[in-house]
Amino acid sequence: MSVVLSGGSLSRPSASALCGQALKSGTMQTVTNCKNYLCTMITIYACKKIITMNPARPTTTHVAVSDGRIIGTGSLEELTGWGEYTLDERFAKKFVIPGLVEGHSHTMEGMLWRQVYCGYFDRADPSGTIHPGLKSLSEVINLLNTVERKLESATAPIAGWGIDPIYFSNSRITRHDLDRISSTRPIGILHASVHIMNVNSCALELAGWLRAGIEHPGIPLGDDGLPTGELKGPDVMTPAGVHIGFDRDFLNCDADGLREFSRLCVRKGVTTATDLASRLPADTVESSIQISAEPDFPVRIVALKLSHGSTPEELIERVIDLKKMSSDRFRMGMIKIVADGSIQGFSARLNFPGYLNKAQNGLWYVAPEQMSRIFQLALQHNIQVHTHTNGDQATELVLDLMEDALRKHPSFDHRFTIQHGQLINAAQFRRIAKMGLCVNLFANHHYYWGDEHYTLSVGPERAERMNACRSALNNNVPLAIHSDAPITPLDPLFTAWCAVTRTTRSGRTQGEYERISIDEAMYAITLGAAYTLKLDHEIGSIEAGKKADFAVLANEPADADSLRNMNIWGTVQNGRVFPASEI
Amino acid sequence: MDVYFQPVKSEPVPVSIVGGYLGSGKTTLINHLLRSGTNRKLAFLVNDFGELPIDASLIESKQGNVINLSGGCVCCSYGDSLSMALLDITSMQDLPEQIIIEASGVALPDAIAQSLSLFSAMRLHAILVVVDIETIEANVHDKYVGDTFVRQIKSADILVVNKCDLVDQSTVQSTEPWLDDHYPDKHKVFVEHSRIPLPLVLDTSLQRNDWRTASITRKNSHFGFKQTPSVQHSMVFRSFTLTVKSQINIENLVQMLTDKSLGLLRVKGYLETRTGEFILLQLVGSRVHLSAVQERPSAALTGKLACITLAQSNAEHYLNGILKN
Repeated sequence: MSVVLSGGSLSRPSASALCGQALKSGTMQTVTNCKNYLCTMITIYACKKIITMNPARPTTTHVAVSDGRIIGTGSLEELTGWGEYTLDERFAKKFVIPGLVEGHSHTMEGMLWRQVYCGYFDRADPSGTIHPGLKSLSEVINLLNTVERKLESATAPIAGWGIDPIYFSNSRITRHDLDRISSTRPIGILHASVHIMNVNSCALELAGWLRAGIEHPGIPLGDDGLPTGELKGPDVMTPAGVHIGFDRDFLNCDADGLREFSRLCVRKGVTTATDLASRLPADTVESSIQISAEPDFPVRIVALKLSHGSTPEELIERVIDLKKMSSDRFRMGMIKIVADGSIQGFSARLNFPGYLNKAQNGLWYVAPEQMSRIFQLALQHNIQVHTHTNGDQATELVLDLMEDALRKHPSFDHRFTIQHGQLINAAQFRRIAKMGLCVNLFANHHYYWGDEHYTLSVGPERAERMNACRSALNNNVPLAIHSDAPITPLDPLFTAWCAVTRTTRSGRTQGEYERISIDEAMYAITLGAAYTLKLDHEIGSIEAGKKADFAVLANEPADADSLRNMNIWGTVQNGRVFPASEI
Repeated sequence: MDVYFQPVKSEPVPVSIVGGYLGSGKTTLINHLLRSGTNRKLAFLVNDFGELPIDASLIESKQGNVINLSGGCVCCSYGDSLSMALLDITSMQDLPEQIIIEASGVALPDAIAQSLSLFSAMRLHAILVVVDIETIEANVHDKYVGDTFVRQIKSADILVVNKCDLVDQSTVQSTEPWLDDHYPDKHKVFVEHSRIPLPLVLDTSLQRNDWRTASITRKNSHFGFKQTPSVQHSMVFRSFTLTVKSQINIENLVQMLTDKSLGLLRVKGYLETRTGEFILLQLVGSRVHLSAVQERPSAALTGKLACITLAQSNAEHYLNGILKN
């Protein structure tokens, strides 16, 4: 039987209109008196297999949906008790799993695709077009040359993103390399890490930096005493980036960016995604609520407010307001704190024995007293806080402050979450468990930069226990895993593969002990992530009462390889069907 | 010691950085500057407006993170993107006469100073780091922020040891040698309520009356503060003028002035070089800035160095003795 509901449409045909023309035989009595809240049409999806994440009925074949929510799973017979329904068989040969939840991403990836993708790995843009990975610097230059030839104005900038010189045998890119493309227009390429940018001479000139006498650790100089064109850190990237077309306020996603981001989500089976560090100014909030309310907007965004730039008191007040402004598809009311920097940038705060190259310890991005104040006020007002830590000293500080805050404001089920927590050790996991914290570990990082951590940043032993998923689960710590898109591609099934295999880019298994099973990884990207967002009562599994949020897969996620190479058909979000091919 | 020789086309805007750990008194210092009623057009870049109680009657307009104050001063909260705020200021039609940056409690002031080198329209005037005398030793030894705290102290041109009214005299007396032991090359001033002479922060006139009134005045107190100055600045600081012969060897002079034992906190004045050029010399603690002057300063001003030292310093006597010869 064919489909009744068209993909993405909110309008539902009335029950009577459907009667007779589309209903399969065997439907029960017609609902005439609509006292029940289930007065809208029921659709039953017949699937090859549904993996529910509900341990009481882990797999089944049918799911009944009404008004965007699940009213039951089971065999068709089991579901007929609800009355009149439409049987939708388009997933009859598909595997359906709960809509995937990305617990740590940034919607600004939707804006990055306006620029030229220069990454090493093949990557799909929001339209699904695969941009082939560029395997050498000359391939990057060639691509940018092609782009250059299409530009009419001689001064229009060219912006690229996603480059990572680590993969070009770690050779340095200089302004002279980019000058080969053009000397009349500013050119800049943002690195995959988003913390470094390479620019050409013209861009340096526009920023006023193509001169002797620049003294800044973020601006390396060449033998001629002039900047090489490498710009490290937001302090130096922003003033040059504005000439190249990078938005000055990088973290606030605009309307089109949000739409583009939502398309990426559908392609990867994601029905709920976080925007983990937004400044959430009034105009961004207004436009995001508006865009996400569009009938065909396919994903639920959970946006956390970055703590920087306001006092703890102002922050709490603002977040309480934001919480009230939330809509179903744009949720606010949580706080993100950034405690330290990054490990590969040597700006994370590490405990003894510190960095392998004996670099001095990293940077605090917030004073402990401020973090403590935010924790306490947030507990008092039942506001959830997610804290970015990379180094184990930063984690230790969070635990010390949390212990103190909980003693002052005893709270059950606060679910404060440590984000990244890449170097959390066994003792810290034991404390995390006792205090009721959750972790969202950066499984993808292990694949992309694990080799570098092994050889350069922290050395073999600690590299093998970075993003220690097994230790988290062994300690009964609620676990999610993430991509940090756009830092690595949004694709929770790939993230699951990373956590299951702990394969690094060079192909080594790094940290066999910390591997988790496929089931555990699947849980982490559905209910696990939903739990860290306090949404596990609404999403994360396919069972009666929850949102009808599904990822629809062409293959069964049966082994590790299938996770990595999954053919994703699309999603169902809140009962609305979104085929990836039409998004 | 940092010496900057910088040929100047249009005079860059002097920038002072007020750093120091959370709670040390940075905001109090900013308040103090705000209410001191200098007639200069200042731009204040602060982390957030939270602790800055700006009198509503002074606010001309507020747009997002920028507050325009009557008299031409502007206050801007920069959150975590100082370079964006600095960009905004450089694109202002009417540049401020001076910029004062309040660093965040865990920021490294020398890193901020390095960022300033990227803006050719600005020059670093001074880094002041405020420390709370009650907590300085505890902070140095703190497991988490100890190294950050020490790096802040090390970046100071002048270390402002604050809140001396909250401890007894013996604490002040024991802290001084402890600081001298650990940070021998730092100029230190011991103050209360972050009250320091304005010329240590601002590139303003060093005329005695000017800075003394400005730093302890209770007039022009638009900000509703009551202060009870228990220590008169005249008891702690003194100012004098040095006369320098024309065509002096500038390098020798700078070396002399930066001899830490003299305790010169601030020097400003015009000099004529041996080649007949004119130079503006500015010293703030351990930082010296020399800039070529396009227009010849008046003869009455040339060769006169206005100085501020701690009251007990013998710099005036000593330097006059040397400079006579």
